[in-house]
Amino acid sequence: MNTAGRKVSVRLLPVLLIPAFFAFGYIVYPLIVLFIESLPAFLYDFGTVARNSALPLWNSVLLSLVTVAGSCIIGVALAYVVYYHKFPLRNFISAVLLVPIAAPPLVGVVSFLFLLGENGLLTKLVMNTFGLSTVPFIFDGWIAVIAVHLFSFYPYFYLFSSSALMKTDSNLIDASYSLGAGRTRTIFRVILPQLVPSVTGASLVVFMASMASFSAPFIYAGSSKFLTTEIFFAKVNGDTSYSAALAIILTLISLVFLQLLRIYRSRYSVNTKTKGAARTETSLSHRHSGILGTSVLIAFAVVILLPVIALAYLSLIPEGSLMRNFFAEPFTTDNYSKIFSDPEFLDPFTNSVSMSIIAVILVLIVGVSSAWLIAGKKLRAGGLLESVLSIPYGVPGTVIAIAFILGFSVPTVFSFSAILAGSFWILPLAYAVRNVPLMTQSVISGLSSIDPSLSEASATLGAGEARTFSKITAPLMAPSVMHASLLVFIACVGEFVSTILLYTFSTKTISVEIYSQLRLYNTGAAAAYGVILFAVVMTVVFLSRKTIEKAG
Amino acid sequence: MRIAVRSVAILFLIAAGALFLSCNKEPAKKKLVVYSPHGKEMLTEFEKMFEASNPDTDVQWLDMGSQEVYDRIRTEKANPLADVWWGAPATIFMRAEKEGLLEQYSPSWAQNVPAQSRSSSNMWFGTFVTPQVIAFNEKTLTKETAPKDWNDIVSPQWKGKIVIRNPMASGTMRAIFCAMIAESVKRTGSEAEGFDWLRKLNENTSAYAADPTQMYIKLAGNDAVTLWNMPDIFLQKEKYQYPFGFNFPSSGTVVLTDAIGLIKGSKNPEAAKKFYEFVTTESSLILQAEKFYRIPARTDIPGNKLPAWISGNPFITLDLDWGLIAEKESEWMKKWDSEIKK
Repeated sequence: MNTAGRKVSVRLLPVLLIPAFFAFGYIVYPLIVLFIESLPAFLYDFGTVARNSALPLWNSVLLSLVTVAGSCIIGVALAYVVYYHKFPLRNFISAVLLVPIAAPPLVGVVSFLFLLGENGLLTKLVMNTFGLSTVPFIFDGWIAVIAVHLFSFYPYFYLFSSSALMKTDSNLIDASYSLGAGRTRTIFRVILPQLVPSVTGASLVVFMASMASFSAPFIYAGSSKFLTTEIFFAKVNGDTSYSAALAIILTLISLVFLQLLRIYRSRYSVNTKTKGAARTETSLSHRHSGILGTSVLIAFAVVILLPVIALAYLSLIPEGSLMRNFFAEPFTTDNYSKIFSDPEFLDPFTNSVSMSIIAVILVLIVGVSSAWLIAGKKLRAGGLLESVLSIPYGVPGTVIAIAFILGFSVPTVFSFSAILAGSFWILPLAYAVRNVPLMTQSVISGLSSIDPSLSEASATLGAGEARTFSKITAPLMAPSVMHASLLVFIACVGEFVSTILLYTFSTKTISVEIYSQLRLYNTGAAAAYGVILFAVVMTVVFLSRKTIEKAG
Repeated sequence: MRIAVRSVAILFLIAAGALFLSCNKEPAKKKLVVYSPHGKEMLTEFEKMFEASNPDTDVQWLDMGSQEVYDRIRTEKANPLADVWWGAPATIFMRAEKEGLLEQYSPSWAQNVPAQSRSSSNMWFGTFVTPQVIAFNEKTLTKETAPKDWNDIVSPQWKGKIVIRNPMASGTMRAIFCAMIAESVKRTGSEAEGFDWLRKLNENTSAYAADPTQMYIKLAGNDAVTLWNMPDIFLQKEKYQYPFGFNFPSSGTVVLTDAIGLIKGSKNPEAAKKFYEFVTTESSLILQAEKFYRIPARTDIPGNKLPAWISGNPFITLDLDWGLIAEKESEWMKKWDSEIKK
């Protein structure tokens, strides 16, 4: 195959049209509108913008670096221990370790509040046990934000490095041992270097997500400034141009980091080629983790489950008992019956689920067609398309929402002359934009790992383009597509930051409902909605894992 | 592969089904969209009552903070999505009036609202008056030991004890902060003293809460003190038995006017006017006072028809230049955010 790149051939044009339309209409165009909006602030008030953005910028970058480093250590260590050791309840614990991925950001933040806040479950428990009259600790500020971030983001490192470990050829490890290297030396010189590509990938995802993180700094770090919260406050203060300027700065910084990581990843690739099929069973995997190791693991799994337990507990005690001694309160299902007795209670669920499914379909169409052009067809314009499609990685949800409202309050070609703002469609479109990088990247990596000789063989045997795609390429990339779809669905169904700006009465989602219950001090109802959302996500994860296993 | 195709097909079917369902339930009724910070319970109640007497209208409300409502209406200016804006401090309505977001309408009770509680060009009218109070945790503080006036709160004695609802997104807090600056302008002719007060308050503040709920939770801490509006503190105390007490600042308190207005470019102006009138009748205002702790701004409602908690809690009103506050609010808050807040 010609690696120098292909010109856009006439036959590829229809396939190219879909991602190009999407990339320009829903990524580039709204950002241009946003940029125009920010011009007055940049031109006439640059001093203020520069002065006021320095501290939040520094805080956001620092927070993201700490998050990446911390969750990297936790995630990789867990992956190593779980993969190479035997311990009781192995399947259960390894499933529990992934729970935070299924917890939507808002639900995660709220659960921590119910667990460790001034009136949290654990706080009260500690106070009761030791007979304290004052709060022993205050879960607030940087510590709280970092704790919530570590909880939400270590699973990415755990997931990425687990799958890398599964692919690691154990011959390498055995060779290291037989050449006289000890365990520590083998871990640091052989195993960890194998993880570098996946750790870089996870760092990228986590860095971007934590730069764009809104809920945690918003709830816990009221006294510190972060870019995302400053954008929100500037917008709310009525400074549209100033907030657009901050948004442009945040986007640019994120894109610079994205590019740096990309360059690093392309330079540093490990050659793991071994002859024949890799052997993955190793003498290491027979090692028992020991009592100490096992108890640490179980303790960690409990820590992961605690916020969820707090959420469930709060949903089962009477409304308003948060401030009293709620261990004395009787359990009740009032919060749930209140939700279910609301004749419109199903609407948020139908909305969340149907909009997420539409978003997944959109992302599938755009992601698969562009990945096929970029990685499969080695299109010359592929690099440009890939860059544009990965821009949303660096754009926080708040910014996407603002850009969408500004761009689609008027009829445009991209919305087929309809006004999207305030309509049903603006939400799944915004979700799709936020998640298209994830799908594109996973399909591209899925496609790149397919041996090109297979499709060449198919072509040689007389199969056409379409037949080769449907019979060879598609089945091989199906697992990575399914996994990515699942992640996109999870991200959409609990999406909060863009939704809160884009929803209308008829398009309320579950997360909006949680937020408005919280605003009205109905912590019990908020917790109950949180539990239900969590259950929806877990059910989908469970069902699709079954499907993926069958397909695989 | 076949399973992948099948699951994609199933996804499509579910999506189509959901779409069908959500389109199907779309009623043939006229849609009336209300943006309001008044809370789900009050909104649901008035939605039902209004729909019962106007069966051809479907009331849809969005419940948000008042500053968020304003932000949304401004963002939607090119394509207004709402008809009625029910509730926000008058200062926000003044800004909205200046930005051309409102539509003129003079309600039947217009003459019963004092001149300072309404727009001179009939763009908005006051519905409730809301006195602000110094609220505290009753478990550890009493009316005597808690701060009694504005200057008490900023004394070093209360360092680390003050909890403040993040003022940028809160109409209530913005109004209190700006009132302090406006008061300083009135007294000394300069903003300096007001900002100095805010600087001292910031030094005493232990946390800026993201929403009222967070604030209530923090207020349950030892010796905690906050600035908030009286009706909400009352509501929490009565409804959930939260241990909250309050003092009216002895030198006089900031009293906000909460207003109502029609949104320019509304798609359903007739129903909007009907709703406007409906939620501001005498009986509606009495219901709002009894059930939701709102004090009517209309002066023609006989005191004996209103609940006892209103007459039992007299307060002194600070005389403030609300026009100045509306004009300077955004600038002052930006200055506070960039120069005073840590």
